[in-house]
Amino acid sequence: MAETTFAARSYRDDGVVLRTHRLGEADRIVVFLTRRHGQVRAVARGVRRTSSRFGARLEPFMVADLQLVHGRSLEVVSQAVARASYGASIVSDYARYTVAAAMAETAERLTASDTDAGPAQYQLLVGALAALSRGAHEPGLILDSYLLRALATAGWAPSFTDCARCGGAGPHSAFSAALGGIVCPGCRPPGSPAPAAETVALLAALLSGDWAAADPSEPVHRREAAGLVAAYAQWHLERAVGSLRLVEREPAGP
Amino acid sequence: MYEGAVQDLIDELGRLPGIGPKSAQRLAFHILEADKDDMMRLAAAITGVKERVKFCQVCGNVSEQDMCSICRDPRRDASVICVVEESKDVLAVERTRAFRGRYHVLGGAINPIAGIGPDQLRIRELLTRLNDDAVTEIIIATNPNLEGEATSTYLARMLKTIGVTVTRLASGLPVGGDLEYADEVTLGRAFEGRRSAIS
Ligand SMILES: [Zn+2]
Ligand SMILES: [Zn+2]
Repeated sequence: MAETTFAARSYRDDGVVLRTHRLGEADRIVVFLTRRHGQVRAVARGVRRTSSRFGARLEPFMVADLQLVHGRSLEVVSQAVARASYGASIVSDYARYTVAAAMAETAERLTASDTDAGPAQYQLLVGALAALSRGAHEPGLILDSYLLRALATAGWAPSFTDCARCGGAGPHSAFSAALGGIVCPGCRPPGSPAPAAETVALLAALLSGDWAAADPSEPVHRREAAGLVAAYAQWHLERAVGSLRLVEREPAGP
Repeated sequence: MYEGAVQDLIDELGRLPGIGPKSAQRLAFHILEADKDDMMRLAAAITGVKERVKFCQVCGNVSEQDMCSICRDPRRDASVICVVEESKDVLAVERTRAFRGRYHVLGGAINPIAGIGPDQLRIRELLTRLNDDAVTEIIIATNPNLEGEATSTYLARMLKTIGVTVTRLASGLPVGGDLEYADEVTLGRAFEGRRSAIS
C-alpha cells in the first residue's frame, strides 16, 4: 500500500538547475526547468553538507535525471543522476558564468507560469549551456542567440528583415522593441534607434542560429546587438532580467 | 491575522532566512508561552549584537571593536590572507588550526541571479589591503560550490596582475557543499594541499 502511494506521488523527469536558495540548516530549494513538467521547485535535503549524497548534482546549470516526490507544499528531490555537468567548465571562465546566470534567470522568468513551453524551453537552455561549456562561440553571442530564441519560443518572435508591424519587405533600418523588431520608415516611432546594417544582420543570424554568419561579427556590432536584445527582452518580460546587468561582455574594441 | 504585537512578531520572524509563515507562527507562539526571563534574555542578546557588534574595518569579520581580535594579534602571519565568504567560515578555518595568517571576509559569493556582483562584495577592500607589500599569498577559501568557484575564478583573474601568489583550497573538498560543514581534518588537509589558482 505504502509503495503504491509513493509511486503515485513520485515521478521522473530530466531537469536543469536554474537556481538554488538556502533553506533552513543544510537544505536547499532547487528551481529546475524540467523537460516535461515545466518549472519545478523542489527541496533537496542535506545538500549543503559536504557529505551529501547529492554532491554537486544539484548545483546551478547541472542537468540531471530526477526522481521527484510531491510534498505538502514543495516537491522533494529523492534522487538525482547527473546527465551533463556544464558547471565546472562554466565557472572556470567568469564571462561564461555571468552568461549562464543571465540565461537561467531568463528561463526562470519565461517558464514561471507557462508549463506548456516546457520541452522547447528546456531544449533551448540545455543546448545553450552545452555550447557555453564547450566554448563553441563567444559567450555574449550564445547569450543573445539564446535570449532571442527563448523569447521567440515564448511567442514573441522578433522580425529582423521585414517590417515587424506592417510586414513590408525589408531590409529596414529602425528598431523598436515595442513593435517587435525592425520597422519600416512608415511604421517607425519617433526616436527609434537605427542600428548598423551589420548589427541587424547579426541579430537575424542569432535568431536563426546561423553561426557561420554570427561568429565572424565585429565586437562593435555585437555590442550594439546586445543592447537591442536586452531592450527587447526587457520589453517583453516587463522588468529587467537583473543578471543581464552583470554579464561580462568582451571589450568593444578600439 | 492576529492582533498587533503577535502579528508583528510573526511578520518579523517570517523575514528571517529559512523561516516560512508556518515556522514563524510556531516560533511566535513558543515565545508567547515561554518563560519571560528566557525570552527577555533572547531579546537582550539580539539588542546586544546589533548595538555592540560591528564588522572589522580591515577584514570584515564580526568584531566588537574597530579591528577584530585576529587582525589585532601580532602573532598572526601578516603575509598570508585567507579569503572566505562569511564570518562563519573564519570559525570553520580557525577550528582546523592549519592556518596562522589573517582573513578577508567577502560578505558572500558572486551570484548574479541573486543580484550579487563583484561590487556588492568586499573585493575593493581586499585590493586596498594588497597595497601593503607585506602580503605575499592569497588563499581563496570560498565555498566548494558553483558560486564559490566562480568567485574564485574572478578573484584569481583579478589578482594575477598584482604579483602575489594566489592559491585555492585543494580539490579534496567535496563539491556542492558549504565550507562550514567540512570537518576539521578534511579542511585542514585542503589547506595543506592548496594549489595555484592562476591558470
Ligand atoms: Zn511597416
Ligand atoms: Zn579583522
